[in-house]
Amino acid sequence: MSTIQFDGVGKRYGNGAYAVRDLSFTIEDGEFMVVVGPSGCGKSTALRMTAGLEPITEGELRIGGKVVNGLSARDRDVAMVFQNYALYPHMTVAENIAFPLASRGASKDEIARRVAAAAQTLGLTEYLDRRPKALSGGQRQRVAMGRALVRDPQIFLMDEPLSNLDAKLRNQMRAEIIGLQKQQGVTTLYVTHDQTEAMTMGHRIAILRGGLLQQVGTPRELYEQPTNLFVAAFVGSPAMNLFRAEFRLTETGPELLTDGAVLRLDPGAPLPAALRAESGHRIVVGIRPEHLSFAPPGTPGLAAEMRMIEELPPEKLVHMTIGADTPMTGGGQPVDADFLTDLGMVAAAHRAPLIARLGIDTAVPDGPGVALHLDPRRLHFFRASDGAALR
Amino acid sequence: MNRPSALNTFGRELGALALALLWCVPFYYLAIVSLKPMSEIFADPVGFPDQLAFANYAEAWRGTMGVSLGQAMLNSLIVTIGSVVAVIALGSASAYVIARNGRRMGTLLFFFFVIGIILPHQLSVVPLYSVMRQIGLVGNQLGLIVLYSGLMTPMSVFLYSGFVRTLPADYEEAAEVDGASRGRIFLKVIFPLLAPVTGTVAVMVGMVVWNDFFIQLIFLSGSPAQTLPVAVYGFVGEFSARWNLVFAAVFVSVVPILAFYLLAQKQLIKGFTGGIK
Repeated sequence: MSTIQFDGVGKRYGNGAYAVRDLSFTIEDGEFMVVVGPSGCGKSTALRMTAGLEPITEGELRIGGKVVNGLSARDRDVAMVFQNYALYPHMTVAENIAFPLASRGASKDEIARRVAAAAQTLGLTEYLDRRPKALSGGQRQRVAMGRALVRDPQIFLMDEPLSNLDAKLRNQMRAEIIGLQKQQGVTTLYVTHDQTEAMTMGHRIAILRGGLLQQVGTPRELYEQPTNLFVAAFVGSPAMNLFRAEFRLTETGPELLTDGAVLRLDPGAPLPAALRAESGHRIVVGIRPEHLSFAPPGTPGLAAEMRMIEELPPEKLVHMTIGADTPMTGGGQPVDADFLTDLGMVAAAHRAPLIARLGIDTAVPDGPGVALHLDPRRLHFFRASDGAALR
Repeated sequence: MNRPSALNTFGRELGALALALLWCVPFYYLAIVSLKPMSEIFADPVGFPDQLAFANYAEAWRGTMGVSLGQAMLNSLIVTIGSVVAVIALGSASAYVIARNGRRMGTLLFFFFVIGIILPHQLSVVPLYSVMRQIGLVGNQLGLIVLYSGLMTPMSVFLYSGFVRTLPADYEEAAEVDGASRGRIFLKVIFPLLAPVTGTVAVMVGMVVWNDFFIQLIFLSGSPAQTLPVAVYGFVGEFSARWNLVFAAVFVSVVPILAFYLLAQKQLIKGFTGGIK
């Protein structure tokens, strides 16, 4: 049983600043958990605390049910792949892979056998006598993987192992890592800042921001039911469309009021209970790009201005703006403004950008002015004050 | 277009050759004087000898004060190799601890060693001699190795710690996660990565110890452990100096260094110019 349990784990520096705060979640035996977040969110610190390279100042960390706070890295039985691989430059590939075994006093025969097996698995057999500098990026990455899996550790830790590879090789290695993890069945904690990597690799994903855990869930849960504005905006590419509107429950049905425009929602549409309590307040509305469509002629819709069309077969991205504030420019109570900086979102008062993802053959109406149809069942609602999802 | 550039190269090489010849003048002088009989040295110092007195070498080889030149050379080798090994071991390990320690403690230790570089060791010769004689370290090779280790370690710590600071901590962290102990991390991962600076330290210490005269004269003269510089000095008497023998002995003492350089030329140049690749 190689579970990893974070129980209120925190890292506080001498000056009182937190790198990670009150981290609590469990990684099940054999699970591939990806920790993702913008730079400086504490994901690498969390990984290093798991490895034993960074002291834990608060809470308890358990590996296989055993508290490991006081254990040094060498006694935790974990294997780690570093961002720059950290291959020993003066050793050959074989010596690099053998190092963890030799450090634990394995016999020469056993070392030779296991190094050969690991090299076989990773297609490194013909490179065993080479030094790391004579290898390509992808091969180095494989050697780092070999060093990690050669001694059957309890858990794998990976710190952005694909970030130094070019796009094509990254896709290839991504598939290889997923395959290896599945084959070995070792509990894995994988850290990345790339949400595409997180979505494609992880059984579950933990999203961190500012040292705080935002949400843990399967990729689909995060995509479809984000618990807050940050998760909603972070997961998905292009990001979820977000704009501010005033929510009103009127006799004719629910309405969203943007700058000068009223969008009437279907009276029969199922709305979250928490949203009804927000009637008369400004909220943040979100909709995924693939759920935006153009209103058929003659039907009411949200007025939008066309900006440009990006063709990316088999789909196209239609960029528009609507007369509404972004979560950042709404005035009044600012939504925790930092996260927009974290996400690199642009602020322009009273003009919220929207992107629609359409099939490449979908007809787009002429003219700069178009009307958008928003399916109320596909809308996400967030409280403006703290960004929490209204459910 | 090739002609001028070839001419240019030829000119440059000729210049370099002339400069190299200039460097050879002392060696010519050394060789010539070492082969002259005593009577000719002052009569015609730079001219070619009328008679080649190879007997000078035989006499110089017999040495002075009962220690042959061969024995003196062996003593020099023992002291030099011993000191180089000791300084590399002490310097690299101390520098690793200093460079990887907390900022305050690391700086404090670093300055402790820097003071060692600044203070002139000649000041401490008298008390050192007295202490070393009491503990039986005068007149033997071990004493000199201990002494040079103390004198040269600060400089090696200075060189090593600068280099260790440029090494990414990832290697050590990877080794730690791989289950290696502190000692194993240093020996198997860090020390091999320090090879370029180890080469520099080895050459620097080797040159200083091999050529040093002052300390060796004070701590070894008259003992069977006397080294080459002391043995050579033995030919210089109070009233007369047998320069032909001095030069012959010096010529012999240059040979091991020259041989070492010729053998290790490639590695030495790589060591001085290389880094981590």
